[in-house]
This record gives sequence, structure tokens and C-alpha cells, in this order.
Amino acid sequence: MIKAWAICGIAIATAISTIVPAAAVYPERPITTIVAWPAGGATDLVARGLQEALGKSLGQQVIVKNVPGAAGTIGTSEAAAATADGYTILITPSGPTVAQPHRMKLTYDLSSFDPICKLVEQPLVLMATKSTKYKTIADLIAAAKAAPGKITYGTSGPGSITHLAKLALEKAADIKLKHVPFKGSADAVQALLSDTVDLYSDQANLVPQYDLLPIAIYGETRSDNFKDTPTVRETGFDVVMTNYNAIFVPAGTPDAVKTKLGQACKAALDDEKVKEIYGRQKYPIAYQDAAAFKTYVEADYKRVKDLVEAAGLGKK
Amino acid sequence: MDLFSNLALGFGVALTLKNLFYCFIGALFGTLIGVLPGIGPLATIAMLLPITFHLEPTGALIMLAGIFYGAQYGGSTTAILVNLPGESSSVVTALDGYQMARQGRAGVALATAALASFFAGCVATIVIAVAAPALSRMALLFGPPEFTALMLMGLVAAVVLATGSIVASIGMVMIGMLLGLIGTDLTTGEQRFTFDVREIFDGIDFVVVAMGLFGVSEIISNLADRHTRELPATKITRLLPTKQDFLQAAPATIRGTLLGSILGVLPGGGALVSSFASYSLEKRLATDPSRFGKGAIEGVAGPEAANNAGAQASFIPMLALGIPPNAVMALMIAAMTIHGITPGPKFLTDQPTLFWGMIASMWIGNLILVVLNLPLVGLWVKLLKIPYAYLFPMILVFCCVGVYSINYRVFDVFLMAGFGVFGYCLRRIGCEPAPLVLGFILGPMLEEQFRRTLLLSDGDFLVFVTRPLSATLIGVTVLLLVMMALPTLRKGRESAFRE
Repeated sequence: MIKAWAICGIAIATAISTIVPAAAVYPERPITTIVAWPAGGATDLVARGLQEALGKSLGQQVIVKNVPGAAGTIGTSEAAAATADGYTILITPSGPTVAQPHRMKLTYDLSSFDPICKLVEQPLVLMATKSTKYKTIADLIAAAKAAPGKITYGTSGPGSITHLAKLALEKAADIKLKHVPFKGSADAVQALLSDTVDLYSDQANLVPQYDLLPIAIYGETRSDNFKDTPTVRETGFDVVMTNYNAIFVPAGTPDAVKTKLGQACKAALDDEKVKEIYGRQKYPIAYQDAAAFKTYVEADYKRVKDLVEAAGLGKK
Repeated sequence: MDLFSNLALGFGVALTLKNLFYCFIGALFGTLIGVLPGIGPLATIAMLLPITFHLEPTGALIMLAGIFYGAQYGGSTTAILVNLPGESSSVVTALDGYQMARQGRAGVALATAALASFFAGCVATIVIAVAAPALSRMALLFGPPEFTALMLMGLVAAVVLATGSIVASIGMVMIGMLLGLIGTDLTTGEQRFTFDVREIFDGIDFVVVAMGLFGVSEIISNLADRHTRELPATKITRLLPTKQDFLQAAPATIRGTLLGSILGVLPGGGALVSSFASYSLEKRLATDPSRFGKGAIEGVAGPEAANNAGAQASFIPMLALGIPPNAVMALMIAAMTIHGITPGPKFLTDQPTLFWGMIASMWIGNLILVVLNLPLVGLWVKLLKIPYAYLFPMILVFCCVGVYSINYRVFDVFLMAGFGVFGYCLRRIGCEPAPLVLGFILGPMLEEQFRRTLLLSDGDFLVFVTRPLSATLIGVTVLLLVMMALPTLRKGRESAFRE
């Protein structure tokens, strides 16, 4: 009799612990955000700018954990392998989620994650020094047709977003530019300033910082800071290339948890302090909820796959 | 005078109580992390970066700068005491510094390093104040061919580092270069020598290699040959340099400072090359080059001065152009961005208080460092009195913590252990690790710039000699090679005649 009661009790206890999901009380302990780049990098600063406000709206502390290495794929695999309970989230740019799966043998893919929201986004800007011969896209294309493969285009490494922008422009305009890869944007800008390369494309804030000429914007629309600079699309080539950071959780995370995280993410982006921090760092807030961002990121994944494979950069 | 009014403005900013405090904290912190092997300024500044969200920008940057040059100061301490270079630049200091320590002259070596650094720091600060805009233009004169030539020169100088056979040290440089090529190829994005081990996709970290080859292998060999082990502590004579030491060290310091101030401006390893270059230069100029590697005081003073001047000079391209010459400077730029300040060509005119305040604080910081470090010399030397049975586990623990802190990976700790064993084997067959380390650092840089040069010139090698700057550098390199080869050739002929 006693035994039966005991079994019953255990059964009930087990049932309760499984029925009552973590979401009912989520979050009951601190949440770890994986950033797959070193502290102080661009992605890290996005995460740390959000950290406090996100923690406040979740009612729990948010910890940033840097797991750098291998173009962000080490940290991203760690996030993919984490328990899908909402206590491990990933803040990442598009590289590890939409580009690297086409380039490396990885233990994860985009489908290993559920999107929560898009945080910030900015279009890449095609730039050159003010003394450049190519003041417009038309100049550039005419010159590239005259001398294929002679005009040099610096990037921050093969397969990086700056390289994808170059590939997309080449494909759309049917031209050939010379790819000169660098270890990061600082090296590429130095090369631009020392006239080692002709062109480079990256975040807009480099333009005023180094007194450069914005030739065109890889965005949907013109940017408020460069009203006179046309988009690449306006010049007749449908190329859009943006740099965005987003929050993901491992696939299979309970819906209630995802909803809660989504709300917290929106609340955090509305926080005045976050707006101020992102404003100073010139990260334009571009919130998208889980549903909208899912469509967006999946389309991006396909587009990047085509670009990478067409350029022969895919995994062997 | 513009300069004086500017400096007055700078000191006005730097001498406020608050900024003095930040400067002191930075210098103190920098010394501490410099002394702890493996925990470098890069990791520390990265960790402290979020805190600076809450500070005002001038104070924050003064503190971060203090950490950077403080670490350069502190880094030589472990290199001298226990042959453990925690920073790439202190690899050279370890060569003769550690030998001095073994001869009971640890105090002299440490004091020399501190004084040489102080002198170099002061001179470099003046150089920045007077010539920052002019020197920053030099960084833009350097394109891929010039960098290739500079790296080549550095590699040739690396061969001079060794005391033993030239063939062995060329071999070491080659092995170092091969190790340096592990990781993702920059031009194609392909993996090289990684065998699908994701931990080395970005290559092996310098600290892992240096700590293994120097620190761990030193411990192994100390434990292996017990009877020959002479503890330096047994015969420490004095702490401060004698008049003769001073006379030997002073000219080396001045030459090192000059080299560092010039080369430090160049992005990508300029400051590092300067400490190697200074060592080679001193060895060349010495009346008795055989003293080097056996505790020559010039071998400590010159490179230490070059290294510190170089560290300070690396602020020039960062402040004047917004171009970071090394990873630490890139973080400084991140710190500025957090505060909405954009370093770049307009920084000097837009933010004069910040610019001159930082420069003035560097001078104050150097003063703080020397005041802080000279009295500590006695304390550090006392550490050597700890019996080796207690000392070596401590060193090992610090090595592990330091290596782990780079990427928070246990894998790196095992890798360091592997390099320790490898380093011990090298010692047993009479090969020295210093040229290997230099090959490891310069090899990948040389490859990157060399391939970029040929990519841009469509495979035409003539660019190296048609551009005046690169032609000059290549000329110097060839000269160095000839100077090195001549005595060997002569010796070779002599032995040939004898047969």
C-alpha cells in the first residue's frame, strides 16, 4: 500500500515537473548570451549594449559569454548544441548562420536555430577615397568593362559580407573586379587610404571617419546620413547587402519561452539607454519579430548560398 | 609656440585628480597583468571595455592606454626571472635577461629594463607630440611590397638571434614559419594543416607557442638535469647597475629608442620587429658578439627600449589616422566608438583635449611606472629565493591560467604542454627557440603581404625593386645577409683549405 502511494507520488511529482514547463516561471535563473567573437568586437558591443535592458525586461541577469574562433562557428556550434530551454541564446551577425554553413563542414545549420528577433541592421556602403576615378556606379562599370579584372576591390576576407557584396555586384552588372582580401576592415581601410586598393564596402560610419567618398549604398532605400548617395538598386542593379545582428535560440525551445524572449527583446530595443548606446555606435535599430525575421533570414540563406556556390567558395 | 600650448592643455587635462587616478590604475593594472605570464593587455582591455561604458571618455582612454604600456613594462619581469616571455616583444628580453638572472644579476637586468623603458617612453612621448601628423603619413607610404620587404628584413635579423649554428637557426625560422601557416588561408579561405581540428582554424596563438617553448621547456630541462641546476638565488650580488653596466647600456638604449620610435609607427608588427632589430644591431656593433645570449646587458637595454618606444609610437597611426597598427589599438578604437568618438584624420582637430590629454598622460604614466617598478625589483628578485620545488608548480599554474584565458579553451593548455616537450627536445639537440618564434610571428605576415603584392601586380616581381622604399629595404636585407654569410664563408674556406 505504502509502496503504491509512493509510486503514485513519484508519478505525480514527475508529471508536475514535466507538465509545468520551465516557461511558467521562465526565466528563473540568469540567461547566457553567446557571442562568437572576442570581447570588444562589433558583435560583442551589440550584445553588451543590450545586456542590461534585456536583463531588466526579463527580470533576470543576462551574461555575455565570448566564444571566439573560426569565423564565429565555434561559438555558434556551442549555442546550437545548448539545451533548448531559453537559458542559452545567441546574438550573431549573418556570417555564421547564413554564410558559413555553405562554406564549412559544421555541426549545425540555420535550421538548428529558431529566430527570436532582428536587432540592428545597416546597409553596406561602396566607398573609395575622394580622389578616386570612379565617382559613380556608371563610371565603375564602364571602367570595369574596358579593363576586366583590373579594378581592385578590398574585402575583409573570402566569404565575408564585404566579399558577398562584391560578388553580388559583379553578378548583377556582369563585370569582373580583382578581389584583394584583408584580415579585417581596419587593414582594408588602410589599403584604401594608401591607394593599394580602389574600392571597399563596409559600414557607413567609416565614410565620415576617414573622409571617404560614398559611391553607392547597398540598401533598399537611401540613407538619412547620405541623402545624395544613390542606392545600387537605383542605378539599375538589384543588389542589396546589409549587415544585421539578431537573436536566435536552439531549435526546439518551447514557444512560451520564445514569446517571452521576443517581448523582452522588443522592450529592450525601446529602452532609452539602449537607443542612446546604439546611437553613439551608429547601429540603426531595425527590430523584426520572430515571424517576419524567419522569412527574412531564410530568404537571405538561399541568396547567400547561390552567391557562395557560384563563386566557387562552397565546401568541397 | 603651438607645441607648448598644446602640451600645457594636455597636462591640464591629465593632471586633474580624476585622470591621475585613472592613469595610476591603468599603469598598476598593466604592470600586474604584464607580470602574470600569458594574461596580456589584449585580454585585459577587452574585459574592461564594457566597464568604460560608464566612465567619461578621457579617463577611460587614459586608463586603457596605461594598461597597454604598463603591460609592456611588466612583461619583461617574468622573461628575465624565469625565462617566460608573456608578450611577443619580451622574447628578446628573455635571451640575455634570463642569462643575467642565472648569473645572479637579475636585479641589474630588471633595473636596466625599467630604466631603458622609462627613457624610451619619455622620448617616444615627445616624438608623438612633435611629429604625430608627419609620422602618420609614413604609415600610408607602406604598401604591400614595402611590408613584404620589412618582414623579410625581420626574418633575416632573426637568424642573428641565435648564438649557435646558423644552419640550425635557419631551420628553426623555417619550422616557425610552417607552424605560423596553420589555419585559414587569407586569400582563398581554405584550411591549411588544420586536420579538421576547429580549435586551430584561426591558427595557433603566439602565447601558447612562446609559453610552451620557453616557459614549460625551461621547467622540464631544469628538472631533468638536477645536478647542473644552479639556482640564481645563491649569489645575487647587487640590485642596481654599476657604472660600467650603465656605460654599456646607455648607447644601446638610445639606439633602441630610435628604432622603436620609427618602426612602431608601421602597422602590423612594427613595434615587434623593432625589438628584434635592436638586438641584432647591438650584436653587430658589439666588440665581442659572443657575449650575447650569455647575459649581455646591451641585449636587455636595447630591445627593451625599442619595445617600449615602439608600443608608444603605435599610438601615432591610431590617433592621427584612426588606423590601428595592432590588436590592442583596434580595441582602443572600439573603446572610442563606444563613446561616440571617431578616431580618424579629423580626431586631432575635433578632440584636442582628448588627444593632448592622452599624450600628457603617457608621460605621467611612464613616470608612475618607473616609480612603481624600481622598488619592486628587490621584491621580484626575492621570488627567486623560493626553492625551485615550490617555484616551478607556481609558474606552471600561471602558464595554464594565462593560456586558458586567451580563448577559454582547455585545448590550448594541452597544446602548450606539447610545445613544452617539443621545446625540450629542441634544446637537447642544440636548437634555440627564439628564431622559431620570430619565424612563427613574421612568417604569416610575410606570406600575406607577399601574396597581396603579387596579386596586385599580376605576378610581376619587379614591383619590389621599382618602388623606392621597398627597394631600399630589400637592399638593407641583402647587405645583412652578406655580412652574416661572410664570416661563415671565410671559415668554410679555411676548413676547406685545411683538408
